[in-house]
Amino acid sequence: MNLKPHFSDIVAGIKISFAYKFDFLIFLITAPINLIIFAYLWTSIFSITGQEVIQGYTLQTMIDYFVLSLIVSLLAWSDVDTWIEIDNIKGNIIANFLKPVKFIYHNYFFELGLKIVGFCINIIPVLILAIPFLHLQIYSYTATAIALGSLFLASILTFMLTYIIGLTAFWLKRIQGLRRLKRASLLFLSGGIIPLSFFPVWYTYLSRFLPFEHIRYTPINIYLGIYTTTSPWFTNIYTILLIQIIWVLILWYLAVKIEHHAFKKFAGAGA
Amino acid sequence: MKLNQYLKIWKHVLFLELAADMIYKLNFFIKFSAVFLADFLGPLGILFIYQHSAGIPGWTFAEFIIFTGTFTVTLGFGRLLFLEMPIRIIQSVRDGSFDKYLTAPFHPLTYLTMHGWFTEGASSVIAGIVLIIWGLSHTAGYPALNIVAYLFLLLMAILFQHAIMILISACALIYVKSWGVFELFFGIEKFARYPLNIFGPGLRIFLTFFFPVAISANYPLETLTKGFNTQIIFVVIIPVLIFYLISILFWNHAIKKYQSAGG
Amino acid sequence: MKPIINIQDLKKTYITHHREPGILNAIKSLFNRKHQLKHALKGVSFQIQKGELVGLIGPNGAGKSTTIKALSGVLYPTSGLVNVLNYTPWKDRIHYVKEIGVVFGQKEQLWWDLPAIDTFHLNKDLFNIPEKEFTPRLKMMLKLLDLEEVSKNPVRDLSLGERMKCKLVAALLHNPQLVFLDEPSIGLDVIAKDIMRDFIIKVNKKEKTTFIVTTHDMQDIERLCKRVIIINHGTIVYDGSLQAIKKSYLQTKIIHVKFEEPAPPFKFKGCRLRTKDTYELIIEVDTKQQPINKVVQHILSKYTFADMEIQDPPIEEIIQKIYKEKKGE
Repeated sequence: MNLKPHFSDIVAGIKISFAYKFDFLIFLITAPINLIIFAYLWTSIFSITGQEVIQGYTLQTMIDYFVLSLIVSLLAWSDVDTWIEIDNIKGNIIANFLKPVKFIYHNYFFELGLKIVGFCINIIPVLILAIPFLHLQIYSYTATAIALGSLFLASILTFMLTYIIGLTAFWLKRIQGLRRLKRASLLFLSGGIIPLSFFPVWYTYLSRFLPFEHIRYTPINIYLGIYTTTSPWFTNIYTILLIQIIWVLILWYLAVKIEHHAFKKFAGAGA
Repeated sequence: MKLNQYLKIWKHVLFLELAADMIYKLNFFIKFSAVFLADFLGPLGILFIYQHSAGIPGWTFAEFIIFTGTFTVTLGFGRLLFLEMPIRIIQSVRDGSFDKYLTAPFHPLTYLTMHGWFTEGASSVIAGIVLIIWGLSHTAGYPALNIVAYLFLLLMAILFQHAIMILISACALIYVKSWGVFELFFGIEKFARYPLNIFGPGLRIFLTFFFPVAISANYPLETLTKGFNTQIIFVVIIPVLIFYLISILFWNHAIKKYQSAGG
Repeated sequence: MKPIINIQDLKKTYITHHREPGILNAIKSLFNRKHQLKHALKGVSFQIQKGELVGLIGPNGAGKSTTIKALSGVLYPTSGLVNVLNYTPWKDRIHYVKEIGVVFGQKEQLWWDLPAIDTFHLNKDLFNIPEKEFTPRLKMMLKLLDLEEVSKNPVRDLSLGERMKCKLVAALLHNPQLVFLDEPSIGLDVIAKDIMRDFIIKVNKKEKTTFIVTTHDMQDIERLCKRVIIINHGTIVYDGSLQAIKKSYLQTKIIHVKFEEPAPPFKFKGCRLRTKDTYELIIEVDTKQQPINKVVQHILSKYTFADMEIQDPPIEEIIQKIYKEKKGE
């Protein structure tokens, strides 16, 4: 795959980010809100529960969890399903097929540009809040490095899942319901509302082999040292990274295959 | 050869017919279900918390479900009755058709409010009611007077929702740039999703007097569980009414600005 | 010389479904599918040589856009042979689109939130255009189309006409051999149209770029194309020189005369009254019988009117005429 033309997609993403300065300001104000709420919530829960550790988390690591969840959100997000739906309805999607690049990578690298800028700018207020006030710290530099790698994979997973949902717009035209369902269930099933260790035990086993927890829960737990290189296989970093990589490959393959059929649908029906 | 071709087309058409009939209806159905389902995910998470800990101080699980249901109902009504207002404003200012709201034989705010209907809000209202009923059936029961007070405060909460939508509309009129103004207000609303007692004193004061979103669930629940007292009038009702007044004043300011800018 | 475009018996059929509103009908249609086959192209054949400037005209729904889409590689035909620049357009899309440029008049093709100049630079990387080709070419095109200042504004702030010109630049930057223009002069004012047409002619002359233009604007055709292909109801009804059409078919002019009081009666040699509204006369002049300036002089001398407009008969009429004649042959 020739990467040179996609450099232009990344640059486009970066440039367009700067066209939306107002949204950065809004994010500065709203992003800490969830964090503040969860910090208060869990502080109050831990204050009466009489336990030091609940489902594997101390108060500190629980707050860390939600800080990291916010950081993960800065990279593991995707709106490609919305754009495909809107562009397809307006008819502008045809412009993408006149470019000498595959649609999937054109979209991926464009979003990568948006993510790079978004991450660099938005991480600052998060760290300003988290380090002095919420006592975020690095538990292990190796773990942090591996977690960043896992986060990168999580970002690809999010994109692929969202992209596949977006492709259904070629058949279904309007997919707002599907998109909302995807957003809500991904947030919940990836541990965005509560760590997965709180879920029923049978589900925690199943979930390990599904892609959803690898979008958020996996990189967070690597960072926190809950998964280590020496743990038993079920919580071993190597096993879990392997599962994550396998899902990246599976979804990537699916996305390419479905795109092939989506384009055939688009071109066959004449749009 | 021809028969084959016809069969192919027939199969294709059959599938397309089935699909086409369901397409937009499917989207409609999924949209409603998605919102409905999403409103239960939060409570599901809280259930997990109560299963593994003593839960939130001062609240049993059932009480908290009534709390969440109340929040969901008030926000649901807010969306159902008023959300379309600011959406229409942003869209109509962008395409230049906003003036039709100024030239109708009604006060613009009333006229816009009449256009505020946003059907998806109904899912949240229904979800909220389900949660409240479940919670009520798992608690000891409350005195009738408390329930009346609770319902009265719910109405105040819906009034507050209207005030928020008016504020968002006014901001949208002044600064049409993006949908970010929704994010801002909905962000602050998130604080009302949890009982005030988990927050520090600063936040409690802010959410009661300055941006009285705590009316959405916290205070109705307080009157339900503890009964009505005259303090509530000063602590809760008056701030909401003042806030409502401010939102209308801000709206008038926004209209003036819009008209002086030539639209 | 081998043609760069060779189309043989191109056919495209769409399946559309027809459903009455209402739930009962929705259920009914599950069992009794009402489908319609729409034959957008019924067997279109033509060839185009390198360097030609061809106009593809026809009424709305004739099949122009469908043909362009098939040639651009974004449409799978139902049957037929399409060979463009030695490619089958939809089969090797990514390599094929590097050789062509396409402008769709009604669709957005530039990055909406960025200045057009950014799209141009991004296309440079997208199409792998060498720097020393890109810079002088871009400079020249911006100058010729008067876009030097305009291209620095975000595309969303531009007028339709300015956007069209920018789309044209974007389509030509990578020096494609073949360019498709689908309604390029929509929304342009008279001066801009002139500038755009001059530009297309220049590029065609200098680079031997082949252009296929679909348009409703007769002046586009007159100015740009020596050859026109007229398509109607999915078939080609004429493929030949513009001169020939003009000679044979454009023998009438239509004059609209508007009055401030009820229109007076009108009679003149070679003229037929098409309609008579209370305040307007629509006069059809057979220019073979009566030169147009004589009719105008007559109107000027005999009547006091509020407004007068002279038009070519609408293209649909010409096409209907050609079609009727073809049918009769």
